[in-house]
Amino acid sequence: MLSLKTKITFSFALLIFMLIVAGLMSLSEFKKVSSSADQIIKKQYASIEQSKSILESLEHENTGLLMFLAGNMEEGMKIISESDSTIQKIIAETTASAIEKEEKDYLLTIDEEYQKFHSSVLTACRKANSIPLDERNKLYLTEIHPLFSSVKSAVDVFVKHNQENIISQASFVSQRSKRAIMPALVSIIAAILFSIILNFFINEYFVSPIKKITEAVSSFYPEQYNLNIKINSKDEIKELEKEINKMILRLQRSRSQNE
Amino acid sequence: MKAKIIIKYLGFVLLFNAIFLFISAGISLYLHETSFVPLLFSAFMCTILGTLPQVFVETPDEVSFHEGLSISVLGWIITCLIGTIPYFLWGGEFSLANAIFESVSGFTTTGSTILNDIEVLPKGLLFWRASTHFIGGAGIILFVLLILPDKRGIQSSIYHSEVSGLSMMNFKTKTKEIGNIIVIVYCSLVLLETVLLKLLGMEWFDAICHSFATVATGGFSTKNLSIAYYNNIWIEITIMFFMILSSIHFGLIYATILGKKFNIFTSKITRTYIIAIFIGILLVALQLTHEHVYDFNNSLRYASFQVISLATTTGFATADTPNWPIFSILILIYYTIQCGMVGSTSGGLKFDRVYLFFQSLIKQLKLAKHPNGVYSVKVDEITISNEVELQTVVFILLYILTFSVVALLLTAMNIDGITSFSASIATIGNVGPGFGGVSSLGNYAGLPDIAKYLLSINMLLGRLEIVNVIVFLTIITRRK
Repeated sequence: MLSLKTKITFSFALLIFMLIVAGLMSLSEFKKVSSSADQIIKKQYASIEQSKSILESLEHENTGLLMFLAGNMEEGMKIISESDSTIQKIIAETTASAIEKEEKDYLLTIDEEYQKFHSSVLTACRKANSIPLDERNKLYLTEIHPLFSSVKSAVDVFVKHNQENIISQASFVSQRSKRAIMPALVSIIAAILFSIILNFFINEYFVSPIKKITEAVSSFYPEQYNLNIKINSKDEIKELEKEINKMILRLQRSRSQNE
Repeated sequence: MKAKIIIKYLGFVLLFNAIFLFISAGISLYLHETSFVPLLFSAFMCTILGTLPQVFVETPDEVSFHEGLSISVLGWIITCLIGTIPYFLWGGEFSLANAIFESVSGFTTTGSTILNDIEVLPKGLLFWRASTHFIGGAGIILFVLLILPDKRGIQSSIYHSEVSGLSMMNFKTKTKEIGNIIVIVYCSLVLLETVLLKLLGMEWFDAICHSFATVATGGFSTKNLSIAYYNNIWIEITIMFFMILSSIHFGLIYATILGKKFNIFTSKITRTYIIAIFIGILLVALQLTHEHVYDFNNSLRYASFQVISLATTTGFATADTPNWPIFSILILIYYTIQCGMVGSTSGGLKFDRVYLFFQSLIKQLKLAKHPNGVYSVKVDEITISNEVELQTVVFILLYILTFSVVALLLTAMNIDGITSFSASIATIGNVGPGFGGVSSLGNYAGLPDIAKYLLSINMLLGRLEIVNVIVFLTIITRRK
């Protein structure tokens, strides 16, 4: 059987080990929560910024076309080609960084709508020289503007999806942060339980036998040959009881020799 | 009654659970799953709390009946609570009420679930879910007893609290031997079924999990559609065969394998049990064919699986039974009440008690006709004492009273009648699926949290056979 010292040392080692495990797990959970919150914020911010840039470039391209149709052809064409390359670049970058299939689908729709708009812009530029000014306005209003609106709507849908994503991701992070508290909570309950059981054992194996010995010593009368108590454990307290009983025997013997 | 002795054995229970938690954590680690940390954390908690009593308390020379009973009842409660932790920490659909319900359902081998989507669960957690069936099937206390030294007075005190007294009736063997027989037969059946299911096309992982669930008569599947997912007649036949075997007294299976005189084929009560199941299958199949629900072949296929699944308290499904005609549903409800045989892994009322009850009823009718006649009730040529007869009737009354009260409380929570009634019977009988909102291909997710707690208690009452819980409560209240 283990000695009292070993039992106590081992119990506290177990308690310390439990607290370390609980601490490490809580830390790892909190780290995961903070890192996922950080990632979500960065990703959604970048997504919104990219949508904003697409809309701005789209407006530019539209302005470029209007300038072209109004007669400022060189400046107009320059703006159109600059805006086109910006939009193509943003769409390609956003698609490459998209993780969800849904997000990729939205970007594909934007790209398809934009390609329709852009090819109609180029067609209008080619036709512009051969038709009068009032005809050009009609061409813009009937053929190009609806396509421009379609691209804007597709981008709006994407922005809305991103906004909804932010809300759902925020609730996921909030749920996850609540979960991160759970290991700590379970550990607190386990530590309380551990302490109650340890307290019970300390009382059962230390306090109670010592009390028994104290009571037996205080109520000891000279004719007794032992303490008359029963210690069930096989540790230092049992040794103490044995030694006291041996001492009593030695004292009794020496007294009888003196008499 | 010494608390330290009870705590020591509860420590063993925790350590035994820790073994399966470590295995599950190992699976999660290997597959890089999110359930690794929750499982490992739970395993450490179990190990630490289970080791502490072993450090202080020396193995006692004997355990009293009251201590044995307390170890059994508290062992089940603690096991169910520990089983909750990995689910709860992992999250997903597991709120506290859901995690407790799933854990109790697993350990009591009920097999009811609150999960809408089982297949999203990481494999480590799915293995832990299946392990709760394996541990609960033979009874955790039985496993713990087998690893302990065979000291006088320890095994029998705890064993008698854990296993129904009726299961000892026909076997003049020592407690340790009965315990050994149950575990040997149990593990052999699991092993054999796993290999057969693998040969029939299941993945190793699914074969192991389904074997745990079949032999423990639990019913947790790794698929949302349960066994219907495989749509394989040979897998269904194999599972049906093992469901029936697992609901028969394991001592009888062992005796049959050893070629002893008293075996499955010579036991009258076992024959009656199997005939009763076949009658049920035939009645349901004929009605399903007559009502044009399926053609005869499919009627026989689905009726066989569903009747065997419910009669053995397993709860696997190949068809959504609430769409069946009312007569078939009522037959299935009867088998949900009747349950499997004593000495098996099935829970609930047990067929032996129903059999004894009817034998006793016949005896009383004979006595009413010939008051001076001498009549006795016999089960497999063994005369049953009046005391056992009375205990059986009292148990049946308590059983009916309990599930009626639980059903009534469920209706008070605005749950419809058929759902309340069948959920109460299915959980106290450790069957699993019921009818209405908790049907064979459905789940218990839609019930309010308070109903889930109530049904969790109901499952434990069914597994601990009610009387043990009442005696335990009287012991602890008297001590106070």
